[in-house]
Order: sequence, then structure tokens, then C-alpha cells
Amino acid sequence: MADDKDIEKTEEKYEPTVYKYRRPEDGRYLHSDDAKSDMPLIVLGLGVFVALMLGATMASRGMGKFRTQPAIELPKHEKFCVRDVEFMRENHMKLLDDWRDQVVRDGVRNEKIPRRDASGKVMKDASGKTVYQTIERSLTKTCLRCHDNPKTFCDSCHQYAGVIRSGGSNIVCFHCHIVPNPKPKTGR
Amino acid sequence: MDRPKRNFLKIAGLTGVGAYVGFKGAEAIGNKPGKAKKKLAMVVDTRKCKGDCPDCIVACHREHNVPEEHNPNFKGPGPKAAQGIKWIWTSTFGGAFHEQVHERTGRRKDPLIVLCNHCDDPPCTRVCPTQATWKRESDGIVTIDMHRCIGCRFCMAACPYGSRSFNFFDPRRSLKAVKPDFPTRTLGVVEKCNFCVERVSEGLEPACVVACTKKALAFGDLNDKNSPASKALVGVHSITRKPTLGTGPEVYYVL
Repeated sequence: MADDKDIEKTEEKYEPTVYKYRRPEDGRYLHSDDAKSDMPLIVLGLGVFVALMLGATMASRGMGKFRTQPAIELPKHEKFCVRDVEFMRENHMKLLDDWRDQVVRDGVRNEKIPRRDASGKVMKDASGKTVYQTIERSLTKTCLRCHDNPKTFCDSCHQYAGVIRSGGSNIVCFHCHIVPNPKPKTGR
Repeated sequence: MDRPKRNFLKIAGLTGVGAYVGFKGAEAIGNKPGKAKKKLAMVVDTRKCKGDCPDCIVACHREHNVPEEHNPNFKGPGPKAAQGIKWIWTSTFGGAFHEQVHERTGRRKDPLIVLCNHCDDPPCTRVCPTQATWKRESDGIVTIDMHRCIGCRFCMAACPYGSRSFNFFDPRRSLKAVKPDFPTRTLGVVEKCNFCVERVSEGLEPACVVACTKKALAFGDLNDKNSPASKALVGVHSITRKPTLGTGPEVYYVL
């Protein structure tokens, strides 16, 4: 009979669906930690990613060498600046602005700075007073007298710090102020 | 105390206060223009200078890296190529002194050296929106801070003497040789004669005065009776350009 057949079918033993993340033995849902791991693939992918990023960075920095400091060319014939190195590193832009205002607006062209001996110590006269020397507040006559190539001094650091566009001198000072005897970037 | 005496004292007191305030006010107004410690001026002796040689112009423009932008409309004497941007240039008697000449003036068409007048009360400094140009209190030189100039050219419109030029092009485009000690200008700033402020600060005379082979230019402090400029004005008839405008030019022309 058709009805009996139907009843028989419905009484068949229920087989639960085996899900991918269910353990077949007890049907417990598996945690991702317990699952058959994709870890090797993930590690491989990460490895490829890191290698690509490192490669790109190193290629852009030049021949696989990380540059940790900008290559600046220091003056050969002069050891001491108008201020000490730490001050100039942090404040050269403020000093230049100050000099500009003093000279252009107030007409004060010279200033006195302590004279230093070969070892960098401030010179004193017989009575223990500091010996001063007069310098002119001038970009061309004072700064550029020693730092005679802004391309290998100013630009180098400014490019590293990202304060100018790379390539060529984009420091606005030199749109008007003249670099005496400009030298090529290499071959000095 | 009777009334009239009391009123008299009141009026007397008020009059005293009023007189004092008025006096002080007048003094303050009187102090405003041209009361500098020094009063630098230039005297052009037109008896010696005929405006026909380019010595002062060439010297000035070489000293200050003035570009030789060509102005095709310029018809006067002097180096034509240097007329686009000009610090000192050649005009005519009739052009420079149009208030003082008439049809029959003999020297109407004669050339004449003109430059910034470094006025006592300069209209150009008053209109500058950034205070990039101002009259120095120490010596009266009207100077420009190129760092602040935004190139609006208000000063050029205000100057009644056409003393200011605008850098429509990068000046280094047409500079053949540069003097490193003095900066060039950049695209889009206004420039003019600075009375050789950089030379004066070193105790030198302006480049044009030194370059003049006829010794027709005298430069100095008019507050100092022994300066060359003061001496050049003694016992001669001298005029300034457009005196009715009240700008008080400090460039004098000896006739």
C-alpha cells in the first residue's frame, strides 16, 4: 500500500548532517584552534607580504641599505658655527628669521659672538673676560661662506625631513639670495 | 567771594588747560612726518648732469642686480635695455617738472635723471597692506622688505613719480652677471631705488654718486650742515618734483 510505504520511509534513521567544523566522532562544534589549521598558508602569505614591503622600502632607499641619517657635507675649513650644533639643528630657521628681521627692519647688521679656539673652548683674555668677534648677519656673506653648497647641506637634510620637495633646491631663500660660485652636487 | 571773580578764575583755568593741550597736540602733529634723526637726500646738479650718459644707471643696476628687461615703448636716451625694471632712469625736464615748465621753457625736452624721491610723507608706504615698505625712522630711506611683499602693486599706483617697478618675470632670466653680495628679487615683487641702504650702512656713498664722472650728484644728511648734499644746496636755486602733492621729495634738482 502506498500509505505503508510512506510511513516506512519516514521512520528511517535520522542521519545528522556532518558540518565542516563539527567533529564526526561526537558532533561537537570545533573551535578554529582545533580545526585542521590554515596556519602554514597564513604564515607563507605574511612572509610574502613582508618580503615585498621590505624589498620596496629597501629598493627606494637605495641598494638594500637603510639610511638612518641624511648625508650632509660639512665645511672643510671651518669647525665652529655662529652657534653650537645642537642649537643650530633645532633653531637655525628661527635664527635666520631673526637675522632677517634685524637686518631688514631694524638695520642692525652685525652681532658679537664668543671667539673659540681650535678645541672649541670659548676664548678668555688675561682678566678672564670672554673674547668676542663680530660677525655680519648675512646669509650669503656668513652662512654660505662655509656652507658653500646648499645642495649638499640644506637640501640634503630638508629632503630627509620632508620639508621640501625632493630634487633640486626648493628652499625659497635662494630664489633671491645668491649662492656664490655654485658647485655641482658631486665631484668636489 | 563775588561772582565775577569766580567766573574769571574758572575761565582762566580752562584757558590754561586748553592752551596746554592745544600746544601738545600741535607738537604731536608737527612731529609726524620727516622728523627723522637723519634726513638723507640727493642733489642732482642739472648744470653738470645733462642726462646724456648712462654711468649712474649702469653702476646702480650692476650694484643691485637689476634685470635688463627690455621695454620696447621706451624712447628716451640711456641704455634702452635697462628700462623695463628701473631704479634710476632718464626722463625729461618737461616730464619730471610738468608743474614747473611751460611751452617756451627751453630745456623742456632735455633728458633728466630721476629716481625714487624717498619722500618725507611717502604715499606708497601708506597703502602697503603688509607693511612691506616703510620709511626708516633712523635716516628717512623708504625701503622694501622683499620677504613681506605680496606683489599687490598698490604702492606702484600710489607713487606719483613712477619710481616702482614690478617683477613680471623671474629677474634671473635676463641677468647676465650677478653680484653675489646683493640678492636678486623674485617673481612677483615690487622694487625700486633703496638709496643704497647696504652701502650707506657701511659708510659708503651710493653707487650712482660714486660712478658719476661729472660729480653732478651729491648725497648726504640734510640735518648735517657739512654733508655734501647740504653744501650743494647752499646759494643755488633748486626744485623738487611735483611739490604741490605735499610728499616732500628728498631728491633736489639744482637749476
